[in-house]
Amino acid sequence: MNEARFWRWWDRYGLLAILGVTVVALAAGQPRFRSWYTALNLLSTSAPVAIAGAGMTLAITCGVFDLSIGALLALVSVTIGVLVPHLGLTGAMVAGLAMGGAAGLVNGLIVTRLKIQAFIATLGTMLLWRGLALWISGGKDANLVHVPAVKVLAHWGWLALLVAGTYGLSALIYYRLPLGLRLRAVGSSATSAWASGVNVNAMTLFVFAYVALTASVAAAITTSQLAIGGCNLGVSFELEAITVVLLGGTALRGGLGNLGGTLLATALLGVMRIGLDLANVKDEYQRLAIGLLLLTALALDGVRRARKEAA
Amino acid sequence: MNEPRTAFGRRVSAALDWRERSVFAALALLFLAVSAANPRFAALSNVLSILGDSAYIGIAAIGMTLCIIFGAFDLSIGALLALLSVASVTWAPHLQPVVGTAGFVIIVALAGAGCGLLNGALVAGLRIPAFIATLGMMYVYRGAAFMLSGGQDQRLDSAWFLSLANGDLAGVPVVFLVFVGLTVLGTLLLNRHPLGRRIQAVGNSPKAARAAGISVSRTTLAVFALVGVFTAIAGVLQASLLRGAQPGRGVEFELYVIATVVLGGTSLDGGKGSVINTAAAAVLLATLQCSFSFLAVNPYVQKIIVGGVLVAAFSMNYLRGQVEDWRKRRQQQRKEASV
Amino acid sequence: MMKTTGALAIVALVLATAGCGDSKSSSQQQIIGFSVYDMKYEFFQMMEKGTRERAKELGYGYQLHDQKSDELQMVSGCKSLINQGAAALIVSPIKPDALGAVVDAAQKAEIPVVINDIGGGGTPYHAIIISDNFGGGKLAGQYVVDKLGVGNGRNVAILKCEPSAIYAIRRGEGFKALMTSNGYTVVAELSAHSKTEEGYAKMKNVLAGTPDLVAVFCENDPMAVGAAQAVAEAGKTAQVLVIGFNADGVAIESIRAGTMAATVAQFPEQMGRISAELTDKLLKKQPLQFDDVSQREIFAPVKLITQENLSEASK
Repeated sequence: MNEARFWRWWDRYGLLAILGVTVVALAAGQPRFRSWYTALNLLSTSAPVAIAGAGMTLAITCGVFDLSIGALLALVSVTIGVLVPHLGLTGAMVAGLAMGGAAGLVNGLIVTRLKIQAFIATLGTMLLWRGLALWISGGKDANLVHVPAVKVLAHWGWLALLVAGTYGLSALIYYRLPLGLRLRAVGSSATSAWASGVNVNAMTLFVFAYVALTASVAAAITTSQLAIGGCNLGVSFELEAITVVLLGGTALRGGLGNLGGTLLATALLGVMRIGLDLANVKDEYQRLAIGLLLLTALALDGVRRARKEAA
Repeated sequence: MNEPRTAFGRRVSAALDWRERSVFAALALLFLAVSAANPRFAALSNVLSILGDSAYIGIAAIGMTLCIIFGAFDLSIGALLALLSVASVTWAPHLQPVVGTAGFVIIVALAGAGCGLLNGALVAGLRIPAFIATLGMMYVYRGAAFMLSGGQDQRLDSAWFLSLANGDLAGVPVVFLVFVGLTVLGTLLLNRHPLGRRIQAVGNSPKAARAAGISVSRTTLAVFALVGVFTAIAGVLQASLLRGAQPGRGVEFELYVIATVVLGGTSLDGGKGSVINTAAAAVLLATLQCSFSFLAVNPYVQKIIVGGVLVAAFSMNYLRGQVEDWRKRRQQQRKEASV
Repeated sequence: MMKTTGALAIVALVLATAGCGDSKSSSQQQIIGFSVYDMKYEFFQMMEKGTRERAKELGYGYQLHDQKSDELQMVSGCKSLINQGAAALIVSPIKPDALGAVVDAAQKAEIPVVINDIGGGGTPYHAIIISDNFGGGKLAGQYVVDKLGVGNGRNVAILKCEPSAIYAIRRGEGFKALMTSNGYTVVAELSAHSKTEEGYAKMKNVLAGTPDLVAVFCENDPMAVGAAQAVAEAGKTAQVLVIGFNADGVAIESIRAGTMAATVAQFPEQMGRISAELTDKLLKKQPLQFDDVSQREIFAPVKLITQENLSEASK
C-alpha cells in the first residue's frame, strides 16, 4: 500500500482504528470490560461531553471557541435546582435550557457588538457565569434526591436519544441546510463570507446560542444523573469539549468540520478512562496517558498536513 | 495643542498618548477611587505589596505579550509553570552549591527555554496550530509535573532560595524590581532588536514576512523559547514565595496571563502591542484583587466583577471606535456650521 | 503639551496619595482578618459564619478574604489584611507549606496568627485548631466494620480528592488503614478530583470492575453524593455503603433519603467560633489552653453522622 493511499485511509478511518484497537486491547486484558454495564457506563459518562462536543464542533468550525460552557453547566444546573419546587421538573428543565440559550446569545452579542474575540470574551463570561451560579445558589449544592422524577434523563434510553438527536440535528444543520454552508463559509474567512452576502453577525449569534444550548442539554443530563443542582459543576468541562473536537480532527482554521470525529474521540477518551480506572491507574499517569494520546494524534495530523502542503 | 519641538519631546508625547496608555489611566482612577473609599488602601506598605504581587503574573505576561504579537497563544504555561517550579525545587539542593544562586536561576530559565523550544518545534516543524499544540503539551507538562514530584507537594526552606522572592531594596520588593527590569528588556527586545521586528512582521502577515526573507520557523522557535524563559522565571519566583512547589499549581494560569495581555491593549490579531501596557495591566489586576479585600466585596460577586471588568476592558476597541466616530461627527458639524 | 500636563497631573496625584494612608489601625475597634481557603465549599462557608459571628459578638471588626483555592492569593490576601490594619490574623490555608511568608509578615506587624484547620506548615503561628482527618477516615472505616463485621477479603473502594488537597487525602489513608487491618481489600483508589460529576463517573467504573463491592469511602461529600447516585442507578444501594466526609447539607439530604449511609462531620462553624475566641484571648494577652502544647494545637472533634443521628450534624 503506497503512502498516499495510507494517508487517505488514515484520514477516513484513523480515529476509528485507534478506537477499535483500544477496545479490543481492553476487552482482552480486562475481563470486566466485556459487559453491558460497561458499555452503558460509557454512554452515561460520555453523553454530556459528547453533546456539548457537537455544539463545540459547529462553533470551532465557525472559528469560535467558547470557554464559558463549563461555567454555564453550573449556572444551568443551579437554575434547574432552584426552579424545580416552583415550576416542577419539566418546567425547570425548560427554563434551564432557555437560560442557557440566553447566555449563549449574550456571548454572541458581546462578540458581535463589542467586537471582542470569542476566546477572550468567553474568558470574561466564564467568570461571570461562575460568580452568578455561586451567588444564586449561595454556594451550596441543592439536593434533588427527594424528586425521584429528576433521574429521568439518566436512563440510557434518554441518553441515547439525546446524543443521537443532537448529532442528527448538528449534521443536518452542517451538511444539509444552507445554514451549514454559510457557517463553514464564515469559518473559512469572515471577510469573503460577508462579501458574498452572508450575515456574519447572525451566523455568530446562532453559533453561540447553539453551543450554549448543547451545553445546557449536557447540564440537564448532569443534573439528572447527579440529582443535584450543582454550583461547582463543570470545572474544566470546556477543556474536555474542545479536546474531543480537536482530537476528532477539526482543522483549527475553521471552514472544515468533523462531527463524526468528535463523537469517536469522545468514545475513545471514555473508553481509555474506563480502562485506566479498571486497572486502578494512579491519577498522574492517567493525565500523562491522555496527554500523550492527544499529542500523538496531533503530531500525526501535523505530519499529514505537512505532506499535503509539500505535495 | 502645541506640538512638541524636540524629537525627544515628540517621543514622550507619543508614549503618553492616552489612547495607547488607557491602562495607566484606568489604574490611576481605580487606585484613587478605592483610596477614597478606604484611605488605608493608599498606605505605602500596601502599594508596595500590590506592586510585588503583580510581578508573579506580570513576568509571565511579558513573554505572552511577545507570543500574542507574534500571532499565537501558549496555553501550556500553567502546566509548564508547575513543572518548572517542581523541577527547580527538586534540583535546587544539588545545583545551587555548584553553580550558585544566579547560576541556578539561569539553568531553570534555560530549562524553560528548552520546553518552549519543544512547543515551538511542534508548531513550526509539525505545523500544528499553536492553540492545539500547546493544549496537548499542557496535559503532558502537567502529567510530568505530577510524575516528577510523585504527586506530592514539595518544600524548600533554604535561605538562599527564599531570598529570591522575599527580599526588598529600600522597601521596594525585589520581585517588582525584577519585573520592571524584565519589562524594560522586553520592550527593548520588541522595539529595538531585529528579533522584535521579525516578531511584529510575522504577526502582521506571515506571508509578507516570508516574502521579505524572514524565517517564520526560526522566529516561531525563538518566540516560544522566550515564553518558556519568562514562565520559568515566574515559576522560580513563585516557588520561592510559596517556599516550595506544587504539581497541581497554575491551573487556568494561562487564561489570566492572556487576559492580562489583552487588558493591556495588545490586540489578539497580532502585529503590534506593548510590553509596558501589559505590565500596567498586571498591576491593574493586582490592584483590583486587593481592592476587593479592602472594600469587603462578597466573594461570589468578586468573580462577577472581574468577569465584567474584563469584558468591558476587552471592548475598549469598540468603545474607542465609538468615541472616535462621535468626535468626527462633531468636527463635521463644526465645519458645516462655520461655512 | 496638554497630554503631557494631564499625564503629569495624574501621576502627581497618585504619588501624593500613595503613602498617605496609615496602615496601623487608629480607630477604637480592632479588626480581625480571616483568610479562608475557598468560599465555594460549604465547609468553609460554615467556618466563615462561625468566625464572623463570634468575632462580632466579642466586639471586634471583621474582614474576610477568599483565597479561591490559590496559593498566591493566600499570600497576597493575608498581606493585604495586615496592610488594612488587622489586629489579628486567622488563616485557613490552601497550602500550609506556603504560610512562611504570611507568618513572617504578621510577625513584622506584631500581630497574632491563628490557623484554622488544614495545617500550620511548621511555622511559628500562635495557635492552630486542627481536626483529625486521619482519625475521621478511621471513623468511617469503623462504621463499615460495625455494620458488616470482619472483612474476609471483601472489597471496598476509596474516591480521593484533588491531589493538592493533602489534608483531605489523609482521610482516605485513615480509612484504608482501618479497612486493611480488619481484613478488607481496598480494590480501587481513584481520584475523583473533589468533583461530584467525577465521583459519579468513577463510581460507575469501580462498580463495573468490582460488582461485589460492599463499601466506598469518598474523601468529601460532593463526590459521595455523585457516587451514591451511581450506586442507586445500579440498584445496589442496599449492597454498597456510601460514606462521605464533611456533613455538607447536600449529603445530609442524601443520608436522609437513604442513598448515602454516613458522613463524617467536622463542625466547621464551631471551629470558626473557637478561632475567634482564641484570637480574642491572644489580643488580650491571656493564656491559652492547648490540647498539644508542643504543637500549640487545639483539637476539633470529628463525629460520624448516620441516619440515626442526623440532628447532631448541625455545626
